Amino acid sequence: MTMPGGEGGWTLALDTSTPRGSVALGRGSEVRGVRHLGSAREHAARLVPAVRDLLDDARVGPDDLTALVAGSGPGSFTGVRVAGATAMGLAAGLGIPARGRSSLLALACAWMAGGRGDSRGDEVLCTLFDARGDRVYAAWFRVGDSGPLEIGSPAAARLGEVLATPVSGPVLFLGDGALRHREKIEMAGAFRVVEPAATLAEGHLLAETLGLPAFETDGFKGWQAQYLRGSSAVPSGAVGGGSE
Amino acid sequence: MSEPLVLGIESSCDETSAALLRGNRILGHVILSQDVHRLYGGVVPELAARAHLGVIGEVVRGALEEGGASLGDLDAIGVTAGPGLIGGLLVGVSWARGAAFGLGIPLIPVHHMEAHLFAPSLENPRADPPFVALLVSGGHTLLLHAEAWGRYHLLGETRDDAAGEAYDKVAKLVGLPYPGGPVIERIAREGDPARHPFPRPMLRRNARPGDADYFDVSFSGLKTAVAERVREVEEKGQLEAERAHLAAGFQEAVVEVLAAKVRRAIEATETPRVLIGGGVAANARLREALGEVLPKGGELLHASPRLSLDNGAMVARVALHRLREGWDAADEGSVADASLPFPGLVRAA
Repeated sequence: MTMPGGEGGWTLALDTSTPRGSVALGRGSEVRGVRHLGSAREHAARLVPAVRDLLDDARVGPDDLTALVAGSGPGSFTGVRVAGATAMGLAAGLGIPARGRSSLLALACAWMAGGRGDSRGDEVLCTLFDARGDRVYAAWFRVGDSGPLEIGSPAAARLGEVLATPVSGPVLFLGDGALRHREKIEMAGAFRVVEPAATLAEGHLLAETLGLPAFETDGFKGWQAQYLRGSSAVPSGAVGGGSE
Repeated sequence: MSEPLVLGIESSCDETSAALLRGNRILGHVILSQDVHRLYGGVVPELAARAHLGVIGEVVRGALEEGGASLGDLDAIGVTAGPGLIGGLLVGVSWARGAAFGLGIPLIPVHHMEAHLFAPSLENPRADPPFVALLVSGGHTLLLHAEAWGRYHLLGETRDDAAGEAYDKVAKLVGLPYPGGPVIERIAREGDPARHPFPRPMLRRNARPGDADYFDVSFSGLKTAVAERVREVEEKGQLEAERAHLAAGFQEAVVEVLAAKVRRAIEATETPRVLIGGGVAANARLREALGEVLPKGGELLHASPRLSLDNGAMVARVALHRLREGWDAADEGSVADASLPFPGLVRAA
């Protein structure tokens, strides 16, 4: 098992892909502290002060950090960029690597980190972020001893398309997309909506200990944001809608 | 003691730029212009923000390498905090905040248009106040009286479109690509500005110093006049033949109005020096016209075309000024603001 930030090192995790932005500090399996970032509008302003506050409270200096991890999306386009740019800047300034990881995967890990509720342990997980209207960002996982194993690729889709996905056995839905559409989801099959007890940032810390897939940057190499949707802009002279 | 080493970062519109500055010496400077917007006939904010995130680290690395320095050598980071497109601003400010926190050095938020005010001083150490300043770009048209750095009186501004915005819109009307400024200037040289005499807005009816719009400008009506004339020549199948004349007529109207307003500012403030800044400051015809309204002993101050673009060097220059003034604020104050107020700017009485 990979310890976050290496033996004895502290890892800082942050995620602002969804309105519930969070920052967490951990070492190995220990989560030392968590900060919530308020509303989505406040994330950019509160992120670095929250990091400072978290480190101060834990009596951990910035130089004691050995790794950073941030949610790379999908989610709010702006939120994805705030986390990515901040993580890159921190990595460059501290001289440590920053890893970017799917925020939908971090949500599955947050459910594991939060104790899994009354789960039977053999359910399929579907993590859903709200993408406005009837649209969601979705990813599917089976949970094994080595953590959540992604089934297929994450996608931007209509809720109806997600609910029509053929799956055997019970499914647990989680995320702000699941909470928003709880009624439709629970009427559509052997589906249950659950709320993880841990934050996305804590999910990232667990994902680090499990060595789950991520990309890495030194803070100068570009951030691989997972938007999953294009801009709605249409080139001059083009006919029809954009890629959204 | 040597001058501090400052990194400046700019990402407010469609240029990602970083510069390394010690004193007035630019040690490293990278400006990456986003070409993708040409396809859309204007800047697409979401695409701009995505592009900034993809390249900001490499742009900073490029400036550092060119200057032979590392982040650890820096004394401060300056970053454009506004005004501008919020998506792009957030990328620059977030990267800079993270880096400044990690390095334990000050982060200095910079106003984009004040940075344009400082740009000429990077190449000309005498380009400091007092002067009348005309700041003209795609997003702003401001006429100021700068008494000293940080003490600015707003004399006039646009009531609608910015000058650069008018160039872009007219370019589109006559079938020219984005950005409109350079291409209109180029083809206007081959046209007769008198062939299509467009109106000179806000001149005749606001000619007395006490008039409310004495220093203000407006380009919306001019754009409408061009659109009307374009429709007429298109109906005759003459747009191709008239394009250069239309461009020349439009440019002459813009230049004449701006020059007249600057002349009024010179007279009202009794300040013979004029600074022109912003992307439209690269327009040679405008600079020529402003040179003609200068009084005896007057001086026109402007940056080179490269430093008239949005760039990191001018941002670093403002940050350096703040450091010299004794900047000691914590980085927590640095937040991107699309409508950031111009520091030290008050409306003239």
